[in-house]
Amino acid sequence: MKRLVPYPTVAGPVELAVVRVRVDDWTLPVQLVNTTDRIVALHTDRGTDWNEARLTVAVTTAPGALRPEHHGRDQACTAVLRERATNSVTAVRLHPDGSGAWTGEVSLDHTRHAGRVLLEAHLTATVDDVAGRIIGSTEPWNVDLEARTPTAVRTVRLVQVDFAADDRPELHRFRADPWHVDAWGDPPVLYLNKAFEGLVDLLHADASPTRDTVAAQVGVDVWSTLFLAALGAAAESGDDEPAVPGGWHGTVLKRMLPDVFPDLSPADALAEALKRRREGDAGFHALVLHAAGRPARLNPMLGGAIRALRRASESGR
Amino acid sequence: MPTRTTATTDQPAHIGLLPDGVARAHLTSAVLRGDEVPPARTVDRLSTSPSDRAAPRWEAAPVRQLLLDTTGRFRDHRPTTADRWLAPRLHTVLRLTRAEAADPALWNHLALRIAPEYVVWRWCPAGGAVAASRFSGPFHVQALARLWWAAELFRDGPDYAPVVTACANQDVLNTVLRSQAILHRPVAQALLRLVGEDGGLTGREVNALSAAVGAAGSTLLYEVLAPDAETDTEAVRAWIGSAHGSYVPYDTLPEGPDDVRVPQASVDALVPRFRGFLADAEVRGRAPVPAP
Repeated sequence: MKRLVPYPTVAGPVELAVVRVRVDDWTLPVQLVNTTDRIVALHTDRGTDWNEARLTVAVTTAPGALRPEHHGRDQACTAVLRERATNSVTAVRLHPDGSGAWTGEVSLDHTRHAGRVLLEAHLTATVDDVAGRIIGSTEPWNVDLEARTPTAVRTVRLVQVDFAADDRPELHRFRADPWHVDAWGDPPVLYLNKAFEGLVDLLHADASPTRDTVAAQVGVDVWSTLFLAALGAAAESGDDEPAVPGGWHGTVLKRMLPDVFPDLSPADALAEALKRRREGDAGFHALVLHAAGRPARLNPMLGGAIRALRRASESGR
Repeated sequence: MPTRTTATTDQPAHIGLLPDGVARAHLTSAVLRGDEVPPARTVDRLSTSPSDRAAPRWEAAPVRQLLLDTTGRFRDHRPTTADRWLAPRLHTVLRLTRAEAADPALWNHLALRIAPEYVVWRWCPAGGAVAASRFSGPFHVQALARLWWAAELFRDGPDYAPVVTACANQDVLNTVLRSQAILHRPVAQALLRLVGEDGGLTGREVNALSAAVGAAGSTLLYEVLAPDAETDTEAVRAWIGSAHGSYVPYDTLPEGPDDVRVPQASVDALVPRFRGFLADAEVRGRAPVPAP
């Protein structure tokens, strides 16, 4: 995240590496740490019955990027764990290791975290007599307590169910619909109505004009619903200055805003979308539907959805 | 597994977990007006139980009793005045980890099944209806979650006194509670020191200060300016495990988990800075506002 601030910040990238993860008294296999997408998957075959995960981290800057005479004194590096859902923040001072990196161990307590935890580090210095100014930040890592594999972005969950089923009262009012998108939770859920004759078979079938048309309809519905829900989350963030929220809300906004307002910068596009939403602008809905129908987005999403469907039916669920 | 009901009453024996979708489906206008309660049998069938459901801390009777006693005790007062009394006691009765408290299904079950009467008493305007989000909604809106989280985020280790200060001010509950900056405990305590001073702060001042603290947090790391002590997570675990038979005092403040107090030096370091923010915000507030 680059911000415009009235003091010098560190040039070049500030990188955070997760060197090792210990869960209680054993070491997490390296395959569960994805350094490219910056994800740690903590849900292993050993189960969820652990107390503490300790992450050894190292933060580096480009050689010579940090100059005391330019960036201020009292330079320090702090790693921060943050999870919105559990309102938990933990900050740990890292220590210079003598070779230009800061290292340290961050402890993640299992009673204070439940899902996806952000891990980032900030470089600070005393600038113009103000202590604790942020002069550089790393890209955040996701430490995911529920993930079994360290892959990017949990996508839409797909559930096949009879909408009239007794234990699904929330779907009863949609019982005549072929599908329903629920953007309330995390991850969002796409329900396919098993009682809607032929739908599931159709989506399983080989490519055909009919399948592609139905799939495209589902896709537009999914993306426009997710977009409006994500925008609602941004509006509720409670800050004066609108910011892209975390989690899937942020992912959806970052992917769709450039299509909704192609001529605006990301920040302006978000502000404009929030303004139109507040004003109840009728044309806005059309813009969202248009952006949601972009083939570039539809195809991968539906490919993924259909693969997920296959996997689900193969495993007998 | 359905929540077990006792034979003699319609009350469930244990606190359960009620999924959002099911909760929303049962928030009919009759429920929101307080004319009906959600159908017990259906709610029980669609609820699940926490993994350690037999533990005493999941017994439903103590929390139900506390919520009903609240409506009795504050019968002749405005319901908002009950928040500062109830928040620390609700936190003492419900011994939860933050991970558990993050699950909306828990709060849905408490509101729809254990004590819907309390939600209606606190949030239903005369002749009107409760907003559905007070039964099932975000942590800073849902009727019980907001009080539990206020107690959790505003307590100073075992000391609930700052929680009373926080919950005496509806603007703190409505605005400050959901600000990210207060998750660093010294920020929360410094804010509350200003709120609790003689004369206190007006709602508008609370909102302006909260916004200024959040905005400054984008270029300042409060964790460096005013470090917190390391949380004693073992003390929290022990406190949660010792729920059985715990007595909730009504006329004195209970004691919370002793997971370490906020360092006073850190709070002291922030208070003058926050006063500065407030002075700046007030100057801006007095500037003439152009007519629309």
